[in-house]
Amino acid sequence: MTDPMNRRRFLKILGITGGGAAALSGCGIGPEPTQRLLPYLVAPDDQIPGVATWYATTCRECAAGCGLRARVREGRAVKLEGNPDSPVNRGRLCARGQAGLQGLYNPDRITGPRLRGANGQLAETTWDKAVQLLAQKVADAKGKGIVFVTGHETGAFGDLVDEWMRAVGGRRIAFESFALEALREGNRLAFGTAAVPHYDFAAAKYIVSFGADFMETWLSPVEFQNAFTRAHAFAAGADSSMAKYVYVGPRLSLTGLSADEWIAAAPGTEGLLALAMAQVIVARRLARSPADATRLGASLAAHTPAFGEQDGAMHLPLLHKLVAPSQRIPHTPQFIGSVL
Amino acid sequence: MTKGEWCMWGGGIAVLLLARPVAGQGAPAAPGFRAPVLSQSDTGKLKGPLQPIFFRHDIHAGQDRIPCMYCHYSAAISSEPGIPSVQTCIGCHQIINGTTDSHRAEITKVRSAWRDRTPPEWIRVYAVPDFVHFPHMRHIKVLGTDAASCANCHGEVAKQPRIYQVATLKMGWCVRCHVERKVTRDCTACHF
Repeated sequence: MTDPMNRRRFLKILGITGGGAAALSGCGIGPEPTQRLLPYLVAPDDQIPGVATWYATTCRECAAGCGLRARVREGRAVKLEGNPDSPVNRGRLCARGQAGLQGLYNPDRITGPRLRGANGQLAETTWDKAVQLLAQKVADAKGKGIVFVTGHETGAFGDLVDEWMRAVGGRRIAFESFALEALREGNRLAFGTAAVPHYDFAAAKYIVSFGADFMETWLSPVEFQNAFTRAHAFAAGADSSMAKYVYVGPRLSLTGLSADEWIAAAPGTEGLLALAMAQVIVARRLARSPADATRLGASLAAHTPAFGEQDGAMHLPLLHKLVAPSQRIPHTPQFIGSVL
Repeated sequence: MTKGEWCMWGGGIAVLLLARPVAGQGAPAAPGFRAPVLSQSDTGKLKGPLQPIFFRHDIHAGQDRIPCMYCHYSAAISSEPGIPSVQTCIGCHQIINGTTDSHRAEITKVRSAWRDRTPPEWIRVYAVPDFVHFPHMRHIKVLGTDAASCANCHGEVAKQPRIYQVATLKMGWCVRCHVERKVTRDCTACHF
C-alpha cells in the first residue's frame, strides 16, 4: 500500500466511481443506449402493438376444465384470468391455472424431441432423427406390444392415437396426475355407473369429507369452493340453515381448516369410518335408502362398527355422533371421499 | 400469381390512383410541395441518425402527402405509434422503382428486405426513459390525428429528409405543455 486509505482518499474514489455509474443510462442523465425498432414483415390482423387482446380458452392443468381468458400482447400470452361466463369457475382461477403460463415460458420446459440415452438422461435430438427412429422402432415392435402415453384427451387427437395403436397392435394409456380410477370404481360399486359424479355443494346440508381436499385439488376445486361458500357462508337473516361440514383425515389441509369439525382419523382408516357410517345408516334405516342399496350389502356387512373397533380405528360414540346429523336429513346423504 | 400478390398489386395501384388523405386527417404538407433533390454533400449536413434505408419523410409525407397514420397506424389506439410493416412499404414499392439512381438503390433495399424476410432495423429517434410511460392514444385523442398535431412534438416531419429529435423530451418540456393546456400534472399519470 503506497497510500494509506484515509477519509479524503476514500471519498475521492467514491466520487469517481459513483460519477461513472450515474453517467450510465436508466437515470436519464447520460446518453441512452441506441434502441432499434424492428417492424413486422406482415402485420397480424388481430394484434395491435401495445394493445392487449383477450382470448377465451380452457385450462388443462387438471380435469376440471375451468374457463380461461388469456391476455395476449404482441402474440404472446402474458396473463391468464378466469372466464366469468364459464359455469365451472365463474371467473375465478386457482393457482394451478395461473401457473399454466409456465408451460409457455418456464426455461425447463421441453422445447423439442428428446431421446433417453443409455445413462437414463434425456438428450436433445432433431425432429428428422426422432421421427426416423420412431418409425423404425414401431416397425420393429409391431404386434409385440406398443404403448402410447398421452394426457387426458377428449378430442380428435385421442381418437387418432387410438386408431394408430389399433393398426400397429398397441394401446394408449392416458396419464393424469390426479387419477380418478378409484372414484370411478367406487361409483360403479355403489351406483352402477363407472363415472365421476358432479357434486352440488351449494345444495348440501351436511358435508363429510374423507380426506377429499375439494377446495384444493379434488375434482373441480374452484367450482366447489364457490358452491361451498354458498352453502356455508353466513347469510344474515336470509337463510339460517348453514351446512355443517366435517373433515375426516390425518392432516388438517387447507380444505380441513374450513371445517366445523375435524376427525383426526389415522392415515388409511378414513374409508373404514365411511363404510361404518354407511352401514349404520342403511341398517337402522336412518335415511331413505335408494332402491339399489342392496348392491352394497356385502361390503357394508363386512364393515360394521364392531369390526372397526377391533382394528382400533373407530370410536363408537364418535361414529354415532357423526351419524346423528344424517337422521335429520330427509334425502339420502351423499358421502364424498377419495382413496389416496 | 398468388391471391396475396393480386391483393398487393391491386392495393398498390389503388393507392397511386386514389392518393387522398384519409377522412378527418389533414395532409402533412401543402399541395404542390416538392421535396428537394439531395446531393451527397447535402446529406452530410442532415441531422438525425443514419437509418439502414434512407427513408425520406419529405418525399412520402410532404410531396406524396401520405397521411401520418397510413404507416403509424396504431397511434390513435395504442400507447405504441406503430412502425409500418414491410408489407406496407412493398405495397407501393413493388411497382414504384424510383426516378433517380440513389432512389432506386434505396428502394432495392426495401425489396430485398421483403424477399429475404429480414425487416430493416430502424434506429429509434424518439424515446423516453424506461421509468416514463408515454401513451400515444391519450395524446392523439386530445390533439387530433392531423399532421399539425403530430408536429407539436415531432416537428415538421413532412419537411425532414432524415428524422431527428426536435424537442428535448425532458420532463420540463412535457410539463410545460400540460400546464398550458391545463391537463393533469399528477405524477402517476406517467410514472407508474
